[in-house]
Amino acid sequence: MQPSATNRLSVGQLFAQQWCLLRDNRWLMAMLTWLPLVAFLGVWWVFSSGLTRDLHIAVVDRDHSQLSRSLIAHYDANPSLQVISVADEIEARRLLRTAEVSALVVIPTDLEKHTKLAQTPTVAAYYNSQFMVLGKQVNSALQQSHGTFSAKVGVARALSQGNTQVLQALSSSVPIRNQISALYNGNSNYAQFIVSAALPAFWQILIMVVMILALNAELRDNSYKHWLANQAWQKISVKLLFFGGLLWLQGILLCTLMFHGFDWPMRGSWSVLLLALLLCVIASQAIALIFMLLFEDMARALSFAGALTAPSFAFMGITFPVSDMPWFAQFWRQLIPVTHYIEVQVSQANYGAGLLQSLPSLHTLLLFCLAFISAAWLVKIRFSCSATGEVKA
Amino acid sequence: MTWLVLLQIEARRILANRALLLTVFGGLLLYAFLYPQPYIKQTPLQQPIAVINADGSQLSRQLIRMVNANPLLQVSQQVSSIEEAQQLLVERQVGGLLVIPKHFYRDVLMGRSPTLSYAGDASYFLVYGTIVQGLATTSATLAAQVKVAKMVVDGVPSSLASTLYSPVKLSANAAFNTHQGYLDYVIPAVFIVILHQTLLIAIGLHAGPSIPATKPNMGRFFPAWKIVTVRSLLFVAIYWLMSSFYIGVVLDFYGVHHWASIGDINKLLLPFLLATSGLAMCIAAILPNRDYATIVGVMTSLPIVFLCGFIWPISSIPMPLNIIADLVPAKPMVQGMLKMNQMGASFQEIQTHFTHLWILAACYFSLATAILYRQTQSSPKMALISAEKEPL
Repeated sequence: MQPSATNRLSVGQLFAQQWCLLRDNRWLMAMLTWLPLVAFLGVWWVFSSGLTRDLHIAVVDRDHSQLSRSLIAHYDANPSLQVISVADEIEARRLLRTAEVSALVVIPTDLEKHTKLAQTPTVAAYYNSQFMVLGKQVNSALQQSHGTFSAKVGVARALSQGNTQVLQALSSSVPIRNQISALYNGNSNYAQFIVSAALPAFWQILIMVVMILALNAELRDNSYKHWLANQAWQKISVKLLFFGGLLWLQGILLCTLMFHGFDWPMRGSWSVLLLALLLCVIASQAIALIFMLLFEDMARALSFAGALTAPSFAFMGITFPVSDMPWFAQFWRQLIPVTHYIEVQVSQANYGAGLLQSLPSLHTLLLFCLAFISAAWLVKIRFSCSATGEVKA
Repeated sequence: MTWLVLLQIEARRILANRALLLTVFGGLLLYAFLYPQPYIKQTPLQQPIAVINADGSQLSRQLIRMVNANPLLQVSQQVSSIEEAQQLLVERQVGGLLVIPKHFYRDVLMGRSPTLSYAGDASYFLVYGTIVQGLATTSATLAAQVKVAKMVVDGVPSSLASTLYSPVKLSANAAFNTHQGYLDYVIPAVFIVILHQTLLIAIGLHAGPSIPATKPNMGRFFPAWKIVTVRSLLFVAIYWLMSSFYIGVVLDFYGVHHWASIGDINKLLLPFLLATSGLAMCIAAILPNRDYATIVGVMTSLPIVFLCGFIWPISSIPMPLNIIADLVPAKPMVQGMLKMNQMGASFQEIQTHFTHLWILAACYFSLATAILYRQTQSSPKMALISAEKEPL
């Protein structure tokens, strides 16, 4: 297996070496075959219900009138909510604190009486916004139920005052109607939103780890001197090509899974997306290569790669908008290849944008080739010279 | 006596392990700074939207002024067609659009309830939510104004009319994280996961097998349970320090609310750190090489964040995944800490999470001891190397 310093290996033999390396390392094999598939499907499964339904809310009814019961029925009829009747507020507060309910609603005494006297009673609701997704959903569901309830009460009142036209009564109760649409994600599917960003982030960690493992196999006594003594360029490029190709295939599998398997919309061009995947692989490989050449130590290279890629999901700008990030975060995210890839993915899959729209992100990914150039420089100054000296001696 | 010797050996090995020190101190310091960075501004404000004003009346112009006055929104463009607005959306110049229909003013006056259409780019949920919320409140305010104006026309005194526009009012308030900041939402939970993951890595780097075996196998000199106990104690001590720094200093620095008392937090930390150390020792034992610990730590971080139940409610996560997640100490800890420190629950109210953590701690401790014991029994090669030094 190990080439002596003098005999050169053909490109075919170098590829065969990579195959043997992959075959003999169970971890590498796992990370290039079943593990990503399990992880992709697992993360998707977490969010697979897509919409949150039947969020529990605690309702304290102090009025016990026909009107208050009708209001509670309105809450319960909302698909996002499920009412849990609670006797007193102390119990309801406890449920809210321990996150057993997502909101607490207090219906005041004399709700019906005050409504009939037109004294506008106030229903107080407290929703848990520590869990922000839930909080926002509960809040909007409550507002919605309340809107319909108020409209009904208003219409009934208008009709009882002798306004016989239902439409007119409706308009006096609801003078302006709203129609809200969620563009590019019609059902506000949370799974599509978060998983389509989380999986590429996970995939990038995988690229880094696979490349570092693959490069680690060539370390002898914490040094690349032996491996890079001769044919350095060929060896490095064959390794990058072999594993890069496999990782690219994995990226393609990921996109196939998302846009065909999970059936999320893909409105743009597949060729642009595939190009972006390829550039993302190459950029991440460049970073892994430079870390390994710098440190010649797997643990440290992994630590640095982890520091760069593990928080990449936060820096992607999907969950929190980039325009509201401070300058440092905006700068840091430029260093993470997958943040540029995700821009391409969103503009292609969601907007169906043209190539022109995605060019800036693709360009930036190409810029990571600078890392390759510095890696080449590193190889040249650190390994070639001393190694040739050794060979001669 | 043996305790002290073992403690000294282990402490010296920790201090000599540079990769471990880099992960624990360097990594934790870096993450404390890096992770909150994107969220420092807490809430997105002034989201740009495009308006299509097909009405051109006084009322529609008033609506646009009101939208612009809303802190969440900013009317950055006025365009004439939906296609133009959509092009702006694709170019990410705006995040949403508002369509004021033709004859809006006339229809309002005639009581025909015209429909305002608005849309947001749901590729970015937080932006979408902000825009929809801003537009909905503005539209509701305008509707209320219209209603009051009509009542005044009908002869209702204006002071009365302004209370009458809605038959039943809803006052919805955010409990906990009252300003709805993203930092307050993400950081308290993610910090626990960061502590959890780096502890897994650190113990893996310490206790995992080294290849080639440069260090003697501790299992030949000391009984397994003593090694596990000493390692747990050492790492619990180190991480007690780091957790205090994270929960006490860093959270405070970012202005995150905290309700729990120091005593209660420490009471919950103990079983969490013990359980995590135990789990880490079990994982370390099955690694092919100690350097692989970082791989495990980094690759499991994202799935664990999703399983902890603060991004996606536990009730919506499929049951089998919840059962797997219950084996990870980070989940009960995140739940317990959020309830106690962020939502003001008392210690009795999070008793189940506390018990859960102690059960995990006990299980992983025994499992780690068993694995270490079996490994020392079944490695005769190691025994040969150290047979002469065997003190027993």
